Amino acid sequence: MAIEKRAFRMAEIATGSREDALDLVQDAMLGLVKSYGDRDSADWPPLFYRILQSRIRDWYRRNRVRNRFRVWLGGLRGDDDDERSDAIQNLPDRQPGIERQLAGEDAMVQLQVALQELPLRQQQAFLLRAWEGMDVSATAFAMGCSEGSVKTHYSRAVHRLREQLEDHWP
Amino acid sequence: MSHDDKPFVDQVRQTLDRHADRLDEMTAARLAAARRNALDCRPRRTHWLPVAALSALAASVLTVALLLNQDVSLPGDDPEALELVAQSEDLELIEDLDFYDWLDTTQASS
Repeated sequence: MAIEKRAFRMAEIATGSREDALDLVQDAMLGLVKSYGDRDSADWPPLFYRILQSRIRDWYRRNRVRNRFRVWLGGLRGDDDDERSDAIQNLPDRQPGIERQLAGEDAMVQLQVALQELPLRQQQAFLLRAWEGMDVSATAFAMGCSEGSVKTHYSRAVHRLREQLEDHWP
Repeated sequence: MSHDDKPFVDQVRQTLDRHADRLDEMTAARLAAARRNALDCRPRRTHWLPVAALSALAASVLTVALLLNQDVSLPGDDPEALELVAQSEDLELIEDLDFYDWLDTTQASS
């Protein structure tokens, strides 16, 4: 399977937006060839994921600030009955397209929801280790953290996912 | 990954693989186009080391060829030149060539 498909799904799980995920993957590809185009292609996957994960973290920070501003703006307006003032309603729709596509595939939907509910660092560690098959060292490089942090994030992610998905995959 | 987690993680991986394989055509095409676009932006690096090595080699060969083609030998090294020097009559003939040429022209006109 092409690496960009997995990367796209990772970005989509992280952002909940198809368009944002496409933008992030495209941006990571451009960043890779511009900064590391002269490297051997065997070095590209960890570099690519490092750039992509960094872009996803940036996206998270921007979105968090944006959502706080919306909530604050809604409070200033004082229109409590207005749907726009509801912080939960204001959050972007996480996965409308995917949920429709996966209607009837309960296991996949549950997995998608469980992954999205993980803290970002746990989600990244789990997807890079379990899905992309990276070892601890490569995952630490891609996430820009220590190997100890990767082990901790991964272990917690597996524990939480098993708890949430035990009805589907005992 | 602990041994107990392996079946669970394997199942998650297979599920995610199936999910990624079912990517709609439009998105897959956009991803492929993004990949091509990125590769087109790849900087074309000039490999200066081989170029410099080839230039140095060519310069060396040219220098050696020029040195070898320089005629620094004495006339005695060439048998034909030695014969020419030895035949004094022929040298005189060459030196008086203009005279013989004039003589030939004069006789032809008379």
